[in-house]
Order: sequence, then C-alpha cells, then structure tokens
Amino acid sequence: MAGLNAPTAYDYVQALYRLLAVQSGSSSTAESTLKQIFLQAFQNAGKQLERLDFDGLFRSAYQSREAYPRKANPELNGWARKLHQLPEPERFSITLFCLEILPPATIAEITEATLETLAERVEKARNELNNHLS
Amino acid sequence: MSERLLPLIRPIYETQTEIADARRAIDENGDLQARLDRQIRFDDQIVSELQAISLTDEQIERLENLLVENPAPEAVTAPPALELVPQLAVVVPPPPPAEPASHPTPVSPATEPVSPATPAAVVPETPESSGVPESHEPSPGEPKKDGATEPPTAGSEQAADKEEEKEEEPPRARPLTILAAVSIGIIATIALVAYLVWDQMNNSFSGKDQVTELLDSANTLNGDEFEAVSTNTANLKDWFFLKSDIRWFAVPREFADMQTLGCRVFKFKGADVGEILAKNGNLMFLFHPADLGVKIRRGKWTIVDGENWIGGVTGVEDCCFVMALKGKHKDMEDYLDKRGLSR
Repeated sequence: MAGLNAPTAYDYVQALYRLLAVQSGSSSTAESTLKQIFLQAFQNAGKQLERLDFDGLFRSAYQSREAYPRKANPELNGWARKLHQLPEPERFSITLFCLEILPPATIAEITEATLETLAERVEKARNELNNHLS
Repeated sequence: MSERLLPLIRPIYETQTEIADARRAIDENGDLQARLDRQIRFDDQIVSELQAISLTDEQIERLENLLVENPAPEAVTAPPALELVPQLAVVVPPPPPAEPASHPTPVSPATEPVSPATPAAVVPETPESSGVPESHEPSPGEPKKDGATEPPTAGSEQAADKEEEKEEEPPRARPLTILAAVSIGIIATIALVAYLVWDQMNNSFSGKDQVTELLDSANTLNGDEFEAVSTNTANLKDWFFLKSDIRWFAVPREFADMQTLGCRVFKFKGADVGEILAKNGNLMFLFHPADLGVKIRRGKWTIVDGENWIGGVTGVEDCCFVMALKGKHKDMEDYLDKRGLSR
C-alpha cells in the first residue's frame, strides 16, 4: 500500500470541505465556511497560494469545532451522518484521520494532543460508531 | 508503548515512523493482528463514504473565482496571480508551518511590499531629478562635446587626438568576450541536449508500445462489451476481485470518485486487463505492470498517444493505471494539469 502522497491544493480543499460537511451537517454551511477559512489563509499567505499554510486550514476548522452543534437531521447519509453525531473532539479526530490527508502526528498537533491521546480519541469514536450509532 | 497506537494504524499511514513501529509491534500478536484487520475494514467504509462527499466542479470554480477576485499584489510576484485556476490544482503545498512568521495579519503583508515600489516607480516623473545629472556630467565613454566652455590646452589636444584615433579603429571583440560568448554557446547547447534527453526519458518508459496497443484496442469498442456497473471507481476493487481474482486493483485518489457505467476484464497478450467505462465516456485500463513488461514510476504521469485515444499512464501501488480519453495530446496535458497531476 502506498503511503501518503504529497496532496495537491485540490486534495486539501476537498478534504476540508468533507470535514466541514461532517462537522456542520450542511453542505451550504460547509461551502461558505470553507470559503471563509480558505480566503483568510490566502490573505495570511500574502495572497500567494504557494505560501498558503494548508495544514493551518484544518487548524482553523478545529478551533471552531464547537460552533457546529449536532443536528437531529443533518444533510448527510450513512457513516458521514453517524460521524456528525459524535461529540467533539472525537468527531474531528476520527474524521480527519479517515480523510487520509494528514499524517497522524500532524492531526495530533492540530488537535493539541499527543499521538496516544489521538489514538484513544479515534478508538473511542470507533466504539461509539459501532455500539451506539450503527 | 507502540501498541497503544494501534487505533492509528492504517496502510496509508505506515510510512510514518511511529505508525510503522506500532505496526511491527503487533505483527507477532495474532489477536491484535485480527483486531487490526477488523479496524482497517471498518475504517475503509468510512473512508470510502467520506470520499463520496465532494465539492462539485462548479463549487471549485466559485472558490477559484474568489481567489481571482483577490489577486496577489502585482509588485510581489505577478506570474502566480495570473493563472490561479491551474494553480489550485497544481500547487503542492509547503510542509507544515515552518515559519510562524508567515502568519501575519491579513492586510499588512499584502500591502507592505507594494508601497516601497510605488515611489520608486514615480521617481522618473520628477523633472529635476532626472534632468540634472545627465546635463552636467557626460557618461564616461562619451567624449566631451562642449569644448567651447574651456580653452583648448596642449594636454587636452593630445587627449582629443588619442580619442579620435580610438574612434577610427575598427571595433574588435576582446578575446575574453569571444571566449565568454563561445562558452555560453557551448553551455546552452549542452543544456539543450540535456533537456531533450531528460524530456525523452520523462515521456518514455519501458513497455510504452504495449500501452499504445492497449489504447488502440479501444478503437473497436461499442460499449456492449462492458457489464453494467453503476458506482464510482473506488468501489470496484471487490468487483474486479470477484470477477477475475484481480488483487492489484488500485486507482489514483484523484479518480476514486469517477462515476462508472460499466466494467470488464479481458485478456490482452495473455494478461488480465481491467477496463472501466466512465460515465463521461472516458476509459480506464488497469493491469499488473509486470504482466505486460511495463515499468512505470508511481505517482508520475506519462502521456501515451494512441490512434484515437490518448492515455495518461501512472503506477499506483502494484497497478498500472491508464486514464484514456478521445482527443489530442494537449487535451490530456490539460486534463492532468487540471487535476494537479505531476508529470
């Protein structure tokens, strides 16, 4: 199995959209928040895409994780819907982990946790998905 | 210690040291191994469903337009701002935040570099500053023409004679100049040859002819050859495995979401080749590279021209993946560039 390839800007944008969709449970909110986060990062990078801190996009999403309360009827299906119902920071951790865009060490850094803590959160999220939501 | 990281083990992360260590630590433990297998299967479902959530091309376009509406200041670097659309797909972002200083306030970094440049650009417009020095001091190589202001002396006459002699001599290039010119010519030639060789090497690979023939095999297809399979490419692994015990099936992540109409497995020169008909009419071929004597680099795309079909070829894990569309070489270049796929 190949390892993480160097993701393109396109990959990052898609991954961020998926993460925001799971967090917010709404495609329109995900799109508008994506624009907001991306534009802010673009400005911070001196409006030069090459200098944009792409990992920072997810850091911004993490910082506003509590802004998206769980919805009873999110616009999501299947596992994405179940992910949306998880509490934070488990929801953010397992979603970003399954997006396969950043290595676990970076996810841990973004979520201000150690790798062991991240592992615990991901495992806890899996258990919740298995036991209570499926 | 490493076993505590078991929840973070996924094949894609095994290139990371900590995850590789954790993987090795559980290798000899049958129970943990079984647990890991279950965990990976479980996560695969989530990964697959998450990938189905995507911004549409239209939404991506809106985002790109947003960047175009906020272009980089001209004084900083003009070229990147001019081609934002390909940029979004092509740019490979820099590694994690190396410089915390690269996160300044939104406004200042964009405007500050501009302001020093502006006065510099305005300078020629002030008449005093531009006119004065030139009128008083001629350039060093220029002979003095305003002799009327100074009475001629013996010394100045001799100097004038010498200058006249110099002017009469036919211009000759100095040996050093000739040497420099020849050197530059030789270096340019070597660089050109090196570029051509490099270009040839980059666009060629062992077994390219086989891929060309494979592309040409599609000329006679009418669509009836395919079994109807309406899904996306990421979900076809099981189909190919069940169909023909193909274990090496893999598609680049950029094509994982591609909607399919049909699939088939056929024999080509004795090798099993998987073929996917995409909803947009494009084709994808997949085969084990060794079966057709193809050696292709993973992650790098090479364009192969068939008679009617143009293929973009790359290696993904143990699979050779050919994305084929009807068109010209340039169409495939644009197609790959648009997806930020490196060649």
